[in-house]
Amino acid sequence: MTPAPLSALGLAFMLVSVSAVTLLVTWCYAKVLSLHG
Amino acid sequence: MSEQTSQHWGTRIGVILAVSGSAVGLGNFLRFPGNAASHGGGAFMIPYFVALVLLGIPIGWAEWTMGRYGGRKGFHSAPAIMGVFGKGRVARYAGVLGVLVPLCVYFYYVIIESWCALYAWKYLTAGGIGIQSDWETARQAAWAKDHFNAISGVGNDGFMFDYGFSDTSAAFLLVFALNIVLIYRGISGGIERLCNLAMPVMAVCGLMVLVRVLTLGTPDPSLPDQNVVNGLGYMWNPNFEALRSSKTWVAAAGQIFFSLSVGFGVIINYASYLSKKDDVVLSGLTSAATNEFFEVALGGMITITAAVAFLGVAATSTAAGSSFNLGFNTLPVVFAHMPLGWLFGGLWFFMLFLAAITSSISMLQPAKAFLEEALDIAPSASTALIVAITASGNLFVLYFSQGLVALDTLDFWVGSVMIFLLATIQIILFGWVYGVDRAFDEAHTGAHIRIPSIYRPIIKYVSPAYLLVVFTAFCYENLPGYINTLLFGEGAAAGAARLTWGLIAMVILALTTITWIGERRWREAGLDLDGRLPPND
Repeated sequence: MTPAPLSALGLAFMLVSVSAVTLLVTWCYAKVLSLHG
Repeated sequence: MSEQTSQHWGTRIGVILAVSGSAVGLGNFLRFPGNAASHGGGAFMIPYFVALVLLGIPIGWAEWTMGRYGGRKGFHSAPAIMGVFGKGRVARYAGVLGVLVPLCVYFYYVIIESWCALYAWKYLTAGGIGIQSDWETARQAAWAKDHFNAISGVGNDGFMFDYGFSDTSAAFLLVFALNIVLIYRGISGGIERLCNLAMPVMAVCGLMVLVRVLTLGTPDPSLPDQNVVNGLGYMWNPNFEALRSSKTWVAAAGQIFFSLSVGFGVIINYASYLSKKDDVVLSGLTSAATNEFFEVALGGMITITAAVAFLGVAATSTAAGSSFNLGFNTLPVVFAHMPLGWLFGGLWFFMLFLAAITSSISMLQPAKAFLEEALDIAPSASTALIVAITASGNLFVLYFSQGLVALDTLDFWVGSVMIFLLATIQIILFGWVYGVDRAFDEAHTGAHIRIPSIYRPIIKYVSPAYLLVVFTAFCYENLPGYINTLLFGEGAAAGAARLTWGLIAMVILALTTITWIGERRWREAGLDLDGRLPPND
């Protein structure tokens, strides 16, 4: 397999995936903490 | 009622972190990156997120709801809860899987956990496992492999008993004892307290290792292809051709499924310690989101990236197919090359140990609750029984270590096939037997957010169908090999596989008998074990 640097599309997949789970977990904990301290 | 009924979670965050701790395990850091890199890189995330939305989250909600419902009627074990929710004996005996799966997975999981603890200890106290940074990579890889073979006994059966008392046996005994002490201390005093501490520590360790990996640049300028950007490229560059293969979709669904611990018998038990006014919808989503953060944001960025930066794409692609190979053979070589490798290796294996122990204690609690509830025994007696049962199972797996056959047989039949079965039964109970409309009403009792209406048809039709398709494809790919070994295999490996099935059969028989005893006891006590009446809380 030939080594290849992170492409623009790869970067997009990485950022979208990591951002999606980070935003979701942040929203969930913000909601839980706002309700239960 | 048993003493289980008096147990409850201390805080809402506590139960969320406990379920998250159960879900976040070795698979998040070792299995996910290997799976993604081998099945289309970034493109793997498309079937992965589809499976999360259509399988992982809805089945998780179903399990949370069923567990709390059972708890409201005074039950905490999967057989009793599923009997109540599924209205009768068939569902109750199917619920035996909810005790069998975590118990039998514990037989081998705690052994892997002790390896992580031993590696962490060696990195933090002795600078590593003996690999010298100035050796050639091939010699380092051979050393790492020999070291792993020596502690796991993959070369011959009964290795631990041949060598006498060693650091491997000491690590196992300590980790085993720690699990038992934590489980004896109960839901709030043991499990919740550990997870409240361990989950943030895991996140900090993971973030520290992540920052170190992303700032590695090109570690060896004479090998310019081995760098972080190529590592991220290997992990994330999409190969859309992979989406045309059914194996990619099965791998993605399997990853979501096993990673979230749905169909494992743990969530149903943990949720049974909640009360009517406690939310299950937001809690279920939050624990799933926590697992995804550890898996995608940490697991997806660290392991493969570091391996490519130090070892190159070819060596990494060979290692990526096996979690053990990646975790215990490849990463020690990576840490030997890394500046301050002893520290980051120590942090990494300590994080894996925390991920494992928060999962392993969750595997004991369903059996403990079941024994207390069915046999009406005290926590001290149930803990003593758990020690006897799990020690026997652990010794069996430790003895039949050659080729890790016992471990692999348990992992396939119990840790994969039976999880699929249990999840399928649970989603059918939720969507069809109890009824999706009533089930949604039950889920929304005390809920802080509402489940979107689109999930009614998803839970009733899409999730069971998706699950059956994935299960069928999984069996088609894997079952013939395992059945051939069991029926026609020759030699020590086939013999060990058959003996392992004998062990599984014995546990099934014992749990079924205990369910029968419990059933008679619950009926005599006048409990509504067939779920004919609404909860009276």
